[in-house]
Amino acid sequence: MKRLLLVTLLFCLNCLFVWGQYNIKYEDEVLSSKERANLEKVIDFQLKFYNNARLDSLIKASDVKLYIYTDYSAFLLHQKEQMKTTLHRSMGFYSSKNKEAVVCKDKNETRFMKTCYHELSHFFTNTYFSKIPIWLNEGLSEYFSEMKVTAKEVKHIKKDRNIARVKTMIKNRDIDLKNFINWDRQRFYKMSFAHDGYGYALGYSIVLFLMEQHKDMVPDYMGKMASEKDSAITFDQLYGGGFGQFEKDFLSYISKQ
Amino acid sequence: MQYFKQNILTCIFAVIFSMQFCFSQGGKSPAITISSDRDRDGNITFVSNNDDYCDYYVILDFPELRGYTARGAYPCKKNVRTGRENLLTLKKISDTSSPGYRWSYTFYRGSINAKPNLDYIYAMPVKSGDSTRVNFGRSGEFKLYFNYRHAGDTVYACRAGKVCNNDLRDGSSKTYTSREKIVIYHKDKTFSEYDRYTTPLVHAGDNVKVGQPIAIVQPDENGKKFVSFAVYYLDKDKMLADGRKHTSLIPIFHTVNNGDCKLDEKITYVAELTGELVTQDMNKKEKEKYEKKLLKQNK
Repeated sequence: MKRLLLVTLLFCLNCLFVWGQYNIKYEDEVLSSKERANLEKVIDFQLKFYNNARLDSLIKASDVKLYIYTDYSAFLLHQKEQMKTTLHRSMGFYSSKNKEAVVCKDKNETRFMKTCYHELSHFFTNTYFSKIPIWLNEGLSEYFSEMKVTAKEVKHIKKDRNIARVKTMIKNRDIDLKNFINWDRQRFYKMSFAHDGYGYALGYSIVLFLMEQHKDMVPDYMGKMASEKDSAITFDQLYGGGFGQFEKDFLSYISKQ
Repeated sequence: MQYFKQNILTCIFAVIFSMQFCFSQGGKSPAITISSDRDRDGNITFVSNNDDYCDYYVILDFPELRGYTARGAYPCKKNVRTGRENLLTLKKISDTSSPGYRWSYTFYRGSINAKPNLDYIYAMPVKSGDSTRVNFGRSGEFKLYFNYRHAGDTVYACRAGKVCNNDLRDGSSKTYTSREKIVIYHKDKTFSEYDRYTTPLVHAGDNVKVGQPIAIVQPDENGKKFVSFAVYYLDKDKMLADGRKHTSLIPIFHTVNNGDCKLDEKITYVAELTGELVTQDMNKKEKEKYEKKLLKQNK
């Protein structure tokens, strides 16, 4: 009997540790056990990736902050309070005030999980790599929002729509890569909303190219780009053959997709 | 009597329902209608009728086909020009006891073979010599909002082409709108679209030239005069995907102060209509005719 009690106690302690390792706040039972399990696996995956890029100190699991709302009005009110504005088309945002990702529960499970993964990436970039260029910030979020969780692994599923969009840009001679990678936030969002998700699609495709072709180098790029204002200089310094070669390789990679 | 009343009620509901359906489609009739002609041997030819002044891409499908063979591939996918065009013929198989078929079709404004001329230089939609600024839209499709604060009230054609009939609808959401727009079809099978004007000066079927006045704009309730302008084409790469079938382009405009460029916000541009802009879309004959006309005018 004593042994059984001990085993039960150990099991409970273990559950508490696993479920409580991230700072995920929500009202009621908003997450199903499957959602919760998938979310934690993707957080683990992102945590590993972002910790690889950190040179000074590691991000702890308990540092990860995600707030999930079930009520859309409450979510909007919180957004207004945090950002001084409300973005009606978005179901998630990063609160720089509280340094946390905030998401509103969507009835569409797939979309909701993607929003969670997207905002979690923003949590990591905005909290720990705040100076990285906007194309990389949004590109990484777009990349991490498309994760498939299986029993064995967490893997990225290519976002065909974004790749097709970039192919159209290339076909219509609508890309000036050197200019794009130095866009500020204002320009990035303005062009993205004005022109069919321009910045998101292109940022994602560059990240996809780097993750697929030069994965080991990505942490170096992130570290360098956080300190270097001109992303082209980073490519000149880190990419074999410099920015020109990077541009050539990237365009060739996209054309083969 | 009771039966008569029921029939009347049914008729009223049917009329209300059909009116609702009609209004939900903006009350517009389809740009493409399909008819079928049966010959003496029982073969059936499907014919499209395009009432618009531009090409359409038509997909004619047969979810059910018994006792017939199609001449040519089906689903039949074809660009159709204005007027009537044969799409496909169903040939009757002689020994079939109960032949039958069901068909459906969809259509999109534009040609699937559009090859946008990316080097084309557009004239600005304001009077030559006037200045203007632009704002970008936020609708996803690239749109420029030209500010007419210092540019009078006349909208000028940015490129030559034929005015489409906007009282018709296509199979995509492109023309499901209650607001009137001027849509012009160009030689390279792209469209340019002008919106937010007040009075049109051109009509469906008109051939317009670069720099021709096409509309009058009046100030809105805030005293601001804006006209939106967009260039797009039917994109074959989008045919298999959900959503929009058209892709918008960022046009290059001729300006006096910035040369030929893609316009940006917060910059004032001065418009100019040059001979080169006017003759860009012309063939050799048209160019010679235009130059002769200019010579005559100068004499």
